[in-house]
Amino acid sequence: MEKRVRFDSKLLPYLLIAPQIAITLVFFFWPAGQALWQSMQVQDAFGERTTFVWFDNFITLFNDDAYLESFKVTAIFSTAVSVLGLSLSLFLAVKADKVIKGTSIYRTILIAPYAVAPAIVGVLWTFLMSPSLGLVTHWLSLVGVHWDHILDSKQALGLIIVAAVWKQISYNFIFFLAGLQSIPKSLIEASSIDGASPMRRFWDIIFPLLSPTTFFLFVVNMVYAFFDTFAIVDASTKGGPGRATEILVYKVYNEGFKGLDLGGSAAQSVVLMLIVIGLTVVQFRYVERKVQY
Amino acid sequence: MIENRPFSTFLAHLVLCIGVVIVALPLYVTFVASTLSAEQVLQSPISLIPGDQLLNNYKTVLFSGAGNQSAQVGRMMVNSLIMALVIAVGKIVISMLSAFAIVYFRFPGRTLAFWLIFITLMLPVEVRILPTYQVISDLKLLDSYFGLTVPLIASATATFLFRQFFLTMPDELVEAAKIDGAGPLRFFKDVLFPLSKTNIAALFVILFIYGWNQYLWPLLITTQESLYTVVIGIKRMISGGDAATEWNLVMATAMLALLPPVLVVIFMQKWFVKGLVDSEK
Amino acid sequence: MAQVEFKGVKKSYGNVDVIHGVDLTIGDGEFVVIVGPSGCGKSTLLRMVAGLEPITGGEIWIDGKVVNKLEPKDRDIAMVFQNYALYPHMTVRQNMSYGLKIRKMSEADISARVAKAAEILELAHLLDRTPRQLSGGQRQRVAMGRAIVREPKVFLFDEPLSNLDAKLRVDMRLEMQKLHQELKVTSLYVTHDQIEAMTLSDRMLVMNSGIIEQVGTPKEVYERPASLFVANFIGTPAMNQIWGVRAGQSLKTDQGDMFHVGEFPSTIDNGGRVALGVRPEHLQLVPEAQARFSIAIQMIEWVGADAYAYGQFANYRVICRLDNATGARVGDRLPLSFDPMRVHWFDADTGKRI
Repeated sequence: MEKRVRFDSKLLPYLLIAPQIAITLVFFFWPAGQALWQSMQVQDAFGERTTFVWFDNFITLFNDDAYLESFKVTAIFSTAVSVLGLSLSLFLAVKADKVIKGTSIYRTILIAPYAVAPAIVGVLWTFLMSPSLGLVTHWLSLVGVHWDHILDSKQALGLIIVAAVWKQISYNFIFFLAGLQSIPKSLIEASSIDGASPMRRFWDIIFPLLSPTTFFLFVVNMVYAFFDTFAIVDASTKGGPGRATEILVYKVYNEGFKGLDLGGSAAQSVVLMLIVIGLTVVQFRYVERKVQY
Repeated sequence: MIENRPFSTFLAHLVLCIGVVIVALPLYVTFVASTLSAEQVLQSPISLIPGDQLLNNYKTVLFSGAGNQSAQVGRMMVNSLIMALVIAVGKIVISMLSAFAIVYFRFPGRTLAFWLIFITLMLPVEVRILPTYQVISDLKLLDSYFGLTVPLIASATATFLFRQFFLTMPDELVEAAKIDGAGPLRFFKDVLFPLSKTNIAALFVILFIYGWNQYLWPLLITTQESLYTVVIGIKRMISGGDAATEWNLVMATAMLALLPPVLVVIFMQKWFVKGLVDSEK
Repeated sequence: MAQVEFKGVKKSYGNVDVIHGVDLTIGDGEFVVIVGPSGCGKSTLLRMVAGLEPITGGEIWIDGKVVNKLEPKDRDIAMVFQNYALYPHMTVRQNMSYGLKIRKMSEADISARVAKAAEILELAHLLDRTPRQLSGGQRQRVAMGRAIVREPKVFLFDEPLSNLDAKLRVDMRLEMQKLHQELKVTSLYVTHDQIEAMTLSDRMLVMNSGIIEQVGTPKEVYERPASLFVANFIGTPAMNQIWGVRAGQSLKTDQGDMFHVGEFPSTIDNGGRVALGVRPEHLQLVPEAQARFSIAIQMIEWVGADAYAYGQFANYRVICRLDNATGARVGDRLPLSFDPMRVHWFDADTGKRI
């Protein structure tokens, strides 16, 4: 889409766009370029000499069990967060779309977690599920579950999943509700005249019509689980116990600042970039489809 | 409504109530804990009835600091506010300007500029932590408000939102302005800007929350307590482990950290939802 | 007030020519309507005068000056848009005064001009409303008001009435006529509606695919259409056309039917292929013996005072205006004739009038 009429000016557009481009180049492209460059170099122990090694760092990386383990943790974590978060919020949105009274109260409370910083979310859930004094830990013990995420790696993963899902429910809920409200009432009415039960109506009509929204949200949730949950992890489990909750982003951070293996850390960054690029491409191809739909 | 079945409506309300309780529980417990004394908060199970230490706790954290550090939460909140405002306003300003240039001018390099901005979508801070830290440190921007805010104000999403909005504006509006004798800057100031107000408000809500809730960035950039934001501050408070942590004060700080953005979302709900939905189009 | 001249004006996008060279002089105070089907280039021509489209060939003169390189604001023109293009966030008063404010006119002069225009257009009581609060007709007036306050040399109208409903359009048409008589400003008006063109213009310009088919007063254009295209485009229902070759004093249609015409224009040779055009109102119902040809009525359209009978002769649709009193019915045979002086001849190849 293009404008038919524009302004003519030689200099002005460059001045207008300069601030954004300047920031983009200095703080986005320069570091990204450095990451690419460093990912193909090895530095000696004293930081005096660097050697260009092509893809050696990547080969080392993918032969490293700890890295592959982190990949697995990330995959489990992000899938669990997306699937759980989407189903819970879809369920709530369907119910919220059904009721007439009180919608605004429900909505107001359900969107509140969006505003809570991920780091704070980590702190809140750490407190709620603290092995010694957590309220949820206490309730779990009443039904015979012994909760100690500081020792139990599965429970630690459970903790960050719960915290991440809790925060993301708001976002999903808003989009699902908007999607549900944009389904023409006449379609629902037509299907009910056709004699479809509410359950069938949901699976035959509503769910397929929501599928663009669902797919879009799935991608957004994956991105969220991959990158935006750094603060949740850092404020709750810190990647532990052992490396049970060390998702890729957390590993880059940890090793970049503590391990001092510049080349390896840069290679990890490059892998992450490729993942974001992949997800963004998927998202945008989908957006194009949505426009046609 | 097609079926008017009281039972299904009742069921919907029931499900929503349970959902709301689960979602609200962490926030409520946080509030309760922030009103208890240091001993009460360590009892298990924790009380679900607010205690009487509310004023005391909040006064302590706001003005004297808590835990193993002396920084005042009041100071941190000011830092958070500065960060949130500069990021929100900065992003809106530079995104509007660049979207204006891209939509309303034709100039060599326009497509390149568009793609440069687009690609930033694919480079979130999280994937370039270390090199970005090096750049900031080379530029001597560590521990400065400039370093804390400016690198975050380039935003592809906001630029695209404005671009999309400008593209929906009727062409005749520019033509009428041209015939009326308005140049580009005049058109921007008198027509485009006033018409963008709802979009700006919507985006402001989203960006304020984004700025206030930043974690990784201030963690990298700040080492001095005087520059801590409240989100960073609270995390430093719990680094001592359960026993050493004054949970009542931590929770009071958490309340202070989450209230501003939560209130913004609740009271500007209409704009928030619009901003969220629009910026993903 | 000023003269507007087009000297070989052309417009092309890349290799595609959309306007193929327009030469025309619009006199001082004249109201010229450009009419044509959508996509014929009429709006582009207007927008070139406004300075909203670059001119790719030739020159446009306004008031004795070439304006090709001038910005719209320096051409001293005002324009009324189809969708009005009012600034949604400004009141009627602000909309009308914006152009004057930019030209740094004094507050007093601005409010005097706005007050005057508001009075002419009966907008005085709406000055503090925003466009959102106005009806379509009122918005249209504001758009006109914005043009009037500028007191420009030339008014440009880009289908200003097309967004109104039928009744309002008739009212506004009359009002525009009145307004033009009052202000006497040179005006260029684009429309696809032939009634607007006929009623408003001093002279009209019929365009088709980037070419001017005819320029003339509405009467000239109606009575002596310069081409088959004009004959078809102007007049409702459209002119009847019968194609064939001259065979002595008769016309032999492509299907082989013959009828007597009488006098042919001298430029049509025996055996030359032509199109004969005759307007529905010029077909006369005559006794069988005097008929040149006849049609069977397939359909009758009653439009108040008159009725139109639709039928077929050879392979051509023939429409004939009937007096309401005729009492003809579907299925009846109508013997028809025409006055040879009322017939139009067109070259079958070029479509030009003979």
